[in-house]
Amino acid sequence: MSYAITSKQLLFTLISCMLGAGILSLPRVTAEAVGQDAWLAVILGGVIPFVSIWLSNKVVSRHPGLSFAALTEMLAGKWAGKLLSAVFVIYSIIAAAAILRVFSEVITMFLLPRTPILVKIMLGLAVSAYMAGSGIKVLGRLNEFLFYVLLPTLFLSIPAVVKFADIHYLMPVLNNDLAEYSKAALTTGFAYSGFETIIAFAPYVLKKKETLKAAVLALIITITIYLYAVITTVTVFGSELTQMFTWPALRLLSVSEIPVLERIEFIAIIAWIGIAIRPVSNQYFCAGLIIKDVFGIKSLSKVVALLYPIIAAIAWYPKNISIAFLLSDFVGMYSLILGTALPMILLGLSLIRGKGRARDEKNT
Amino acid sequence: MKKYRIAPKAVKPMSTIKFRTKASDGGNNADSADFFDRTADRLRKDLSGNADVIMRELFAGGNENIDALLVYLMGNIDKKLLNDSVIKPLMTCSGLEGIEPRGERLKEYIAKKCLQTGSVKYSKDYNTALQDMFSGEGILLVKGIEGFIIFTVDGGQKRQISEPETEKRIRGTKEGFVEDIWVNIGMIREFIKDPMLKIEMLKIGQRSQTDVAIAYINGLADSKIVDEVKKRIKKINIDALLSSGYIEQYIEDNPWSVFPQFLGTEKPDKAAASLLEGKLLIMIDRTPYALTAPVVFVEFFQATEDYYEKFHIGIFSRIIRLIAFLIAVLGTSIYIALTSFHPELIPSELLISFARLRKKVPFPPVIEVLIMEFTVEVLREAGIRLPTSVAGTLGIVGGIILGDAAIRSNLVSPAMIVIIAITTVCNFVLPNYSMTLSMRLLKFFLIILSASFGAYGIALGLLIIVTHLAKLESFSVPYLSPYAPFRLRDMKDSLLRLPLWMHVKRPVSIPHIDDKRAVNNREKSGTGEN
Amino acid sequence: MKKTHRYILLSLAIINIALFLSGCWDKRELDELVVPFIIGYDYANEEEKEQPDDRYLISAGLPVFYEDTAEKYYVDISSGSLDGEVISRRNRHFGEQIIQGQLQVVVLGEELISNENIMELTDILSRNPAVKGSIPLAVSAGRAADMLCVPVKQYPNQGIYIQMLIKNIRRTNFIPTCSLFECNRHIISNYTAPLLPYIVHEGDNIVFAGSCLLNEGKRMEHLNMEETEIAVMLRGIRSRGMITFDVVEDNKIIDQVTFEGKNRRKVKVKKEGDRYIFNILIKLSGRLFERKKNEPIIDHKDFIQLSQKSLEDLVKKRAEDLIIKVQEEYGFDALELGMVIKAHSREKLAKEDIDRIIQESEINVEVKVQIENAGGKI
Repeated sequence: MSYAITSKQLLFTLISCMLGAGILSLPRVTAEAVGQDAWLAVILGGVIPFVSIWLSNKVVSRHPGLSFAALTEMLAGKWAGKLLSAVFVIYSIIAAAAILRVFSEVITMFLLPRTPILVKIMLGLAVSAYMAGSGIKVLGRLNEFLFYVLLPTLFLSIPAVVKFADIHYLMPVLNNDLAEYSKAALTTGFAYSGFETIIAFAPYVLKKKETLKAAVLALIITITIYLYAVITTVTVFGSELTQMFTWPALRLLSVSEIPVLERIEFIAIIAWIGIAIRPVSNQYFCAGLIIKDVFGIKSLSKVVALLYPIIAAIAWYPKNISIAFLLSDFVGMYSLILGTALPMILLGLSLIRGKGRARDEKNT
Repeated sequence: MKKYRIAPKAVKPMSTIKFRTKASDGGNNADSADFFDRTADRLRKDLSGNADVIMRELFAGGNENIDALLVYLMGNIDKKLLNDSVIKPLMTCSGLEGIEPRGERLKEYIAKKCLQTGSVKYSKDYNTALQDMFSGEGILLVKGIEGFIIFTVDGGQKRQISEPETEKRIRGTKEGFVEDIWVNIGMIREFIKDPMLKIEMLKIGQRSQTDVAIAYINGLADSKIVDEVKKRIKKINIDALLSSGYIEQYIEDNPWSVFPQFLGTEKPDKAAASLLEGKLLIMIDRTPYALTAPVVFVEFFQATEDYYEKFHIGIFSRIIRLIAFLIAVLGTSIYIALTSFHPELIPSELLISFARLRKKVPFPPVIEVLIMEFTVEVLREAGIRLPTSVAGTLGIVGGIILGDAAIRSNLVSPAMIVIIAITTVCNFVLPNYSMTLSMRLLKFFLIILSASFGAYGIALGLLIIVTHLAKLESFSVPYLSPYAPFRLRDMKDSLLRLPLWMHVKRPVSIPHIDDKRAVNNREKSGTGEN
Repeated sequence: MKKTHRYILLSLAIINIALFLSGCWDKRELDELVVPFIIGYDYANEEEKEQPDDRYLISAGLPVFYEDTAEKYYVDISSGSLDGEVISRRNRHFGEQIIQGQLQVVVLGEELISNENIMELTDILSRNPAVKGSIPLAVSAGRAADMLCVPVKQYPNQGIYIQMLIKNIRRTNFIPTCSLFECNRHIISNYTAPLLPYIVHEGDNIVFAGSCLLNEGKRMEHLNMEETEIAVMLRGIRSRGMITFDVVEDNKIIDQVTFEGKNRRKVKVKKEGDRYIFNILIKLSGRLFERKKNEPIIDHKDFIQLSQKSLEDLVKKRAEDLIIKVQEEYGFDALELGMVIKAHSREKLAKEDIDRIIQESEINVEVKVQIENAGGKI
């Protein structure tokens, strides 16, 4: 492995993968599912990603030093391994396109209503391509840096909360049946999609022992940020009103005025562009990395450039925002399945075959 | 280390430069007297046409049998030193009658008894000697000695040590580097009297033979970086090295980036501080502007005064600089984005006044901005070349009258002028000049993006800039340390400056060997003082 | 730079430059915009209807950006069957684009609001993300269009006048303000009737004359100033205001006093079977603003206590009157108890359930007044 990232950078990369376009519509989705217990749904939704992270980490730690493509080939044989890698790559491509599309929709609504969506997609994708093509070290640094810089935007919603929040909107607690909670957990799980990329990033971490800690911490931080978003929205709007807005978290900012800059949404949107474009570039990078490893291409930037029209086309395909949300849900479902099934398959194969690197095995 | 490319062709060694006349096959057994005559003739032929080359014939020690020829450049030597330490003792040197007028004994006698200069060298190679003569040394050719005696009589009119124009300080040394590299090296040694301070010299430039000094503290600076810097400098193969800028452009990691990858300074205290952190200092003869490597982004926001004054002021100044940086880079683009694309986001009272002002101006905001920016850039360029007597008056009169007239004729709106003025002033707040130039380019980049896509363009532009910064490495040190790979220990001195007595260890971001740089005595003496 | 990299970069650069030059789709010149700051909704009279089936009349107050016109402020009135249609009608006599993002106040005509559902009327405002959620609403006596055309002396135009009025009223009087978002919240999440301020044109001024409770377009109830103040206190809308009252000792009026302070409320809910018992605690805290009798308070030791007690009794009596009115006359939730009920009930309740519960439950009021200081003069 010529590249290496620190475990802290892995942490921030994972957070960036998960915390994307989902945060703005999350309050609506959870409020639709379980009403005032939206915050509970957020926590429940983190269960499946947690399991997946644990499994992935197990697999990677048993075979240190192997990239994802090499790992699948070693465990499942050449062609089955390539097939598994292909599945992952297809997921990454569609995920990048879906997130990019939803992100462009938000831009359409708030900033540039008349620019054709293709232009917005192409611009956003060009910047993502630049970020993705820089390699894993730079990506790690970027994720870390941007997380710190953009974290204060969470505080923008505090004036609204201070003035209007009411704890009554969260009561009564636990008023729905179990079926609704499990359905909510599933739907909320879509918001965490991005956790499965750990299996692609983990092999590059410098200190192997800290990978699990970093991944779990990433999940916890994401859950906390989602909780914050959901609780602030629901306590200010009430669960029924939250369901009315497409992007309640952003609507939250227009509720209260602050003295100098009357519209703090401006700052929030600009910061949010930095937040939401990172899952696109991270997924883009994953896809590029795996293709590069599978086909043995030397230059990452060439692969990235090749993928550009594919992702742009997929992102452009939905004709309106409802279809875009459907695509996003599809990606979420795909991520949950992939995130649990893939590590399980790999772990099973690994347990059968035993530990170690492919070339050191004496049996084969 | 990342590979970078300079000259694609193979490097030619210096010594293959040939002079016009060919040396006759002077072997070791040739007659020494012959050598003297031959060489003297050859010198006269090669150096004809140079009015400043003086060839002084004399008798060594007053002995008519020992002819000597002294060759030197008149403008580059210290005449008094030459007369007192070379010509006079050489002519009046006693005891030369008893020496055999040839061979080693004569050479030793002259060099060690008669020549009273500080340094003496011997060389048999004609080209080397000639090169040295052109580098400001004197060469002595004596009948009976096969070879040249080369000595240093350095002099010539040089600039005195004075305060540099671009880096003025209130507190701290007011000395600045001068053009003479030996004076500069002397100044550095005054600050760091550590014997571990190593200063290595290279000569770069085929025709200029410029002295380049690489200074570092042995045992402190990372040896890999030292080797890399030396390797890159040695690879430079150009005609002449006229300024430190040339070296910078040849050895920087990413020549396509707009950000400076070396920190240049004219102040010896800043240079010494960099050395103490484990960095390298590159000094070039004839340029007072020295370079430090490796460098990170936050260093361009740090000034030496932050350290000399109280740390409260240090923190405050750095925050101001950061805000000014953001304003200078983002100010105009945000104005364009707000007025052209997102009128809903302007506070409502401002909106009415902006709109009323804009109603009178015929151009769209982008054209207005470009006109104003162009004017400012032109003023800046012209201001550098104006003689100071004219500049002052022109500035006041032109600025006030022109500005007033421009507003009245509705060519630009007053709000625009205010914004341009603020951003221009904020532009110069950074202590380092190279970064100021980069900021101008970034500003234009963002203006173009925001003129096409509004706030989305600004956000994307900022992301591109941040990505580029994250990618940039200066001799394998990430440009955005200590923020990108987050180093907690370095936070004591990056944006904020904690008290000096807390800086116990060296910053992690610059690779170094020895960690400790101070002992925090304040903690220990806590009980004693009130 | 490798050659292929150079070609890739070049092609990307060309594409992007083409994008830039091909036109900025969203560029709007600031001075070519029409920016309504205040908007009024009404029913359209026969004469005002541009088309026979128009229902609504929408008036908008806009600033004029040209310097050398006669008027700096202009009220534009158009009719249509839906807001959107009105905008398209209006576009016909403005050459410029209308943006809604800078709206500051919405004024609703009295007649309109009694019969129509406010949510439907303001749908266009909620749907447009550029419109702030915090714009205050107000109900005007008579027609909103008239209110917007009132000749005004000490302000540059009516829009600013109404804006100034509404913006800060909660800091000087116990008069409610209700922003668009709060209105939505009351109707959708709380099943409560929102309380909007009511403005009247009197002489040269626009004056607050009470408030209105909206019950989903079926009824609109009007409260006068006294009732409004009590409603604000009962609902817990945090404001500052002044109350002038008589200080009573042993059933004798001994003095008149003005109290200035702010209000808060606390609600406690108890459930006995199906029946709810609410205990609303109104807290008023502030200072003694003025006293009619020019005597030092220190002489009369219990004066502050007496004032407090008198105010408490007064407010309590008025509050109980209002509660009875709400329960018997109105029959819907006018006291912002909807969310409290929903928080304490495990069943999914609809609006009718809330209305029923309000009518049937027992609502008690407690008032606590705290006069913290008596100003600089004792």
